[in-house]
Amino acid sequence: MLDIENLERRWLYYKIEKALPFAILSVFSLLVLFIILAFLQSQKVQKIKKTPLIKKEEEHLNIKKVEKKQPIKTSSFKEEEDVKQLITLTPSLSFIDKISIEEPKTIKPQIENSTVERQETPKEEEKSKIIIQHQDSRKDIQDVLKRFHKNNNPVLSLFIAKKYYELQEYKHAYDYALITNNIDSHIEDSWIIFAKSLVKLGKKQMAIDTLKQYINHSNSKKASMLLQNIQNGRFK
Amino acid sequence: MDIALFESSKNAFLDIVEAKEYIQLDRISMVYQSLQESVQKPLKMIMLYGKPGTGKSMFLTKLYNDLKEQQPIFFYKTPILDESEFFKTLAQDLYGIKYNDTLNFTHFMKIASANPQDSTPIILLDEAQLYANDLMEKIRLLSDSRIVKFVLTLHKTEKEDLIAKEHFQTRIWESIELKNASKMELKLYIQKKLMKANCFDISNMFTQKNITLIHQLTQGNYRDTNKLLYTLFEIYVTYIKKLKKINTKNISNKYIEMAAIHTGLINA
Repeated sequence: MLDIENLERRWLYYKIEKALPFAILSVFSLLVLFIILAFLQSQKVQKIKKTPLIKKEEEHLNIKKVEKKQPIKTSSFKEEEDVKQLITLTPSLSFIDKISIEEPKTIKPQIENSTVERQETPKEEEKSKIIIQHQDSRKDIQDVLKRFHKNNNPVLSLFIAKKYYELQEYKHAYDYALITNNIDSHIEDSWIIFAKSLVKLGKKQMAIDTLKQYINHSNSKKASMLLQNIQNGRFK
Repeated sequence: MDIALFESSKNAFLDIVEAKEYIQLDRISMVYQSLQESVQKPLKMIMLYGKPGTGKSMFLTKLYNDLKEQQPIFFYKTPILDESEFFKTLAQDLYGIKYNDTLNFTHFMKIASANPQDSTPIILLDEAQLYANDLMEKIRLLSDSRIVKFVLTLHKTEKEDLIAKEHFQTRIWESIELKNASKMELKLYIQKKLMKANCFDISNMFTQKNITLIHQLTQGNYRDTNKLLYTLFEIYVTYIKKLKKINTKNISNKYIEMAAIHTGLINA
């Protein structure tokens, strides 16, 4: 008599053993298929998402462009305040607030009068304006000079050089441009002010040589343009 | 279905080498006919070879039964490995001479010369691969003398291809290879076996899927098929005894596989 129960058990093991590789292979195939499908699906989603993102970016850029353009076009009072805020963020230029506040005062009557009163007394107004600015600039320079002596910041010395240049005090402008350059030789404007001051002081050739040296070193476009202007006599 | 029917079916597949168990299949019949014709030719040696279970012994048995009434034929199912014993058996069977002392090849040749026969006796040697090389060489010399005609069966194994052996390569004039059954032959073999045992209903229970599975498991080997089907019907008998009720519409592949596990055809 056969041991049927034992035989059935052995048969069951045999069937499981036989089916196991197929089962594993099937599960593995399904898993691979699922991964491939998921991957393809994610790629599709990415493609769909990418297009609105680009549009959004473009829109965002457009807004930024518009924002940048707006102050130039409209020059409204609110935007001027924004500019003020931006300037006041740099501690060394706090005095510019005073200038910017005063500017609308000086500009406004100038614009209003430009159409009506320009022909009547233009020279007097110009003179008065220069005086105000000159006085303010002097004060500014004094303030900044104090601060510069405290912290030796090249930004401040450059500002002083620029102010002196504006005030046509070219020797002082030359000196502070040189001081700025000694502190940080990479500041482009220090070279520009230095060269401009030299031209104004009648040292045109020295200005040309200095600019050439700087252009060779830095490829500065601003310096190149100035050099051209000096050489062809546009800048005197 | 009656349990007795399954018992009869089981017994039909008992692995017995008897002429009455011989199943007439087309290819087997052709091979057998070829063997019969070869025996009538003046050949020195005829060799039947094939894998174990391909029906070599059955062929010799059938040949012996068919020819024993017509001509002197002697069938040695188990090899006589001792040389003296071999020649002594031949001397007694062929010439009726009982020899008590050691009988070697030379003495036997003398006895054979002194007792000429009307027709050449046929000696059937089963499992000839078991004979020692020396004795095989003497069998070759004996067949060369045309005193007797030998029909041998050999196992053809992958490890040892006996046909390649020198004494067979040069001396054999006829060699017949027996092969495993094809799927169709196996189906016919099973059906004929069952019909021979009057188990027609059981024969009808076999589907093509069953036959395919059996062929897959046995590779068409008759001996393995006998073993497998014997166990299969034993399983049926056991289930009927145990469960009383069993599906007898078709043969279950599960039971075939269980039978294969039990007989070792499936390693589980």
